[in-house]
Amino acid sequence: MVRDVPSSGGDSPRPDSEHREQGGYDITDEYDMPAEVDATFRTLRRVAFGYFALFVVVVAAVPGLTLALDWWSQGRLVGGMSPSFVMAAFGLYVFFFALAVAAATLANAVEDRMLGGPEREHPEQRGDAP
Amino acid sequence: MTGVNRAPAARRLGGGALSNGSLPLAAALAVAWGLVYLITQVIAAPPLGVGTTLLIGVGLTLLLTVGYPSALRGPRGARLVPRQQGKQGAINRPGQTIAAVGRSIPLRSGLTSEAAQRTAQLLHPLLGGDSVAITDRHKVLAFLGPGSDHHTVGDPPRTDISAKVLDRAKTVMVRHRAKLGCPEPSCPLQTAVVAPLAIGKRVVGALKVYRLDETPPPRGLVEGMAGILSLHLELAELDRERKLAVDAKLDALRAQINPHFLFNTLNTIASKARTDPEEARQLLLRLSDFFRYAVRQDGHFAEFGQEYFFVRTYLSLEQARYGDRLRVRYDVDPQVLTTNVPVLTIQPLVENAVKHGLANKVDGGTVTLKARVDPLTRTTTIQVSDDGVGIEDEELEKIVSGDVTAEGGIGLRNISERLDTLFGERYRFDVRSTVGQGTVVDLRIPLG
Repeated sequence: MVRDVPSSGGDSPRPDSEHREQGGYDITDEYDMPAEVDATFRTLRRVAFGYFALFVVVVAAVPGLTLALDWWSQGRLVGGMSPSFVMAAFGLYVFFFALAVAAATLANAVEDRMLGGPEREHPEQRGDAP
Repeated sequence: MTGVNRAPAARRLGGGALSNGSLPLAAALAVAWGLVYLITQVIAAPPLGVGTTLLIGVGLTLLLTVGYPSALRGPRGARLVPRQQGKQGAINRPGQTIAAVGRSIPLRSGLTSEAAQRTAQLLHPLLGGDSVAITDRHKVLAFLGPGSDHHTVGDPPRTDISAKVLDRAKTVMVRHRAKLGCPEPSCPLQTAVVAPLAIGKRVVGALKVYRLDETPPPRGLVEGMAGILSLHLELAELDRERKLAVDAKLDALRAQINPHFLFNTLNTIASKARTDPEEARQLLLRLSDFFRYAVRQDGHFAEFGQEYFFVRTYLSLEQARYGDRLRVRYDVDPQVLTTNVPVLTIQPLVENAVKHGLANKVDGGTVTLKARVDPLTRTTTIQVSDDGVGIEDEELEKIVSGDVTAEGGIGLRNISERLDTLFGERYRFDVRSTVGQGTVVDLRIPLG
């Protein structure tokens, strides 16, 4: 049920100092159960779908606004550029970057909270009786 | 299962009505867009442009989406207390002003020096005296007005009548300076009314109103105000006792970790120690995590992510025991992970699902933990369900009333009482069960 994974350092065993334990856990221990990994996958999938929906809405809004609003393609902003041009030339890239950062941050936060064990301290640091 | 009652049994363990806001809002948005289309494209001649129609629709959508949660919470202005009136208003409408002061007495938080100071400031213009003092049994907590140079806060009460009132628990009126008993010769206080502050029959302090002339302050007014203050002190005491009771319930819950669970887990680990030592070691570590979390929770709330860790630790230990008979499914919204939930609340629900739902089912079943956030109603919904044997109506009644605790289960009553204290009426806690089909426990709490 609880599975081990091979150490990420390849076939050769790592030095003892590197192969340390934290509060009883070997750092190579895998803590998670299949149901927990499945749950994390489902939650991350929901995150991905949410951001994909946002991506589609914003990207589709560019041609949509061209059809719906004359100002979108005929208006002039800084340097004589139309809002549509500004959006295609700069706005979309900024949006993609922000979207990517937000999605990655949320996905990492979800993974941190849904997988793995607690942060561990050495018993000596905690001051607990052994 | 012939002859078994399969009708679903449902119980509300506590809380008031928390409405589900998403569906009505979706309906309202659909109606709004329909109306926009009707007005701008059908009724209007010539029809409005697509851009204008879209702008109106989006604006209306924003208005509804932003305003809807406020509408669900109800009007805010209704509970606003009018601002404190000036001195003239206090004289003209004393009944209303005293009632307003009575509602906002700082002593509601207990008989402390700070609360007494604020109360004295609030009451000084209302009690018809020149000086107002509040004491507890041992020292002056607040003194406002002439005489404050020697009736200093923190010192024992200097007048003899204080001791008399504290001993006899009766209001005393003093008409002569000599009977006041102040040892300071230059004390300007001439007359006084001193009324006891009591919690039940126990006198805990005194409210004193002094005047600088021969006419004593109105006794009835001082006595009445002391009665209101005593009521607030009683309420403060009740609050304190209720908080202690909640702390005790949480302690009971921590101590209530079922010893059978510990025995069974240790037996499981012992049996695996020979066949799969590595798994036995992992289980021991999980067991240590489980107990560490249970004993280290100090406050009443924890992040859902932490409670989720506690639940999966528990279920992994139970899975080691039950094997394939116990299947688990988690369905967690990403937004739920950082919300605050009452500590040690979800695991007992899951434990009940395993114990009452699946343990007696030969081919086992699935426990599902589902957690959602509704940003519109600002609620967190946690649902623990199982497809186990279900619970008979009478048995459900016992579980709900807490009678099953003696058999080793965690009383749902304990949880619902804690929720009562933490949220008042702003939560819902429902149990639905159908014999042979399973049980669903629904908990809806304010988003924290």
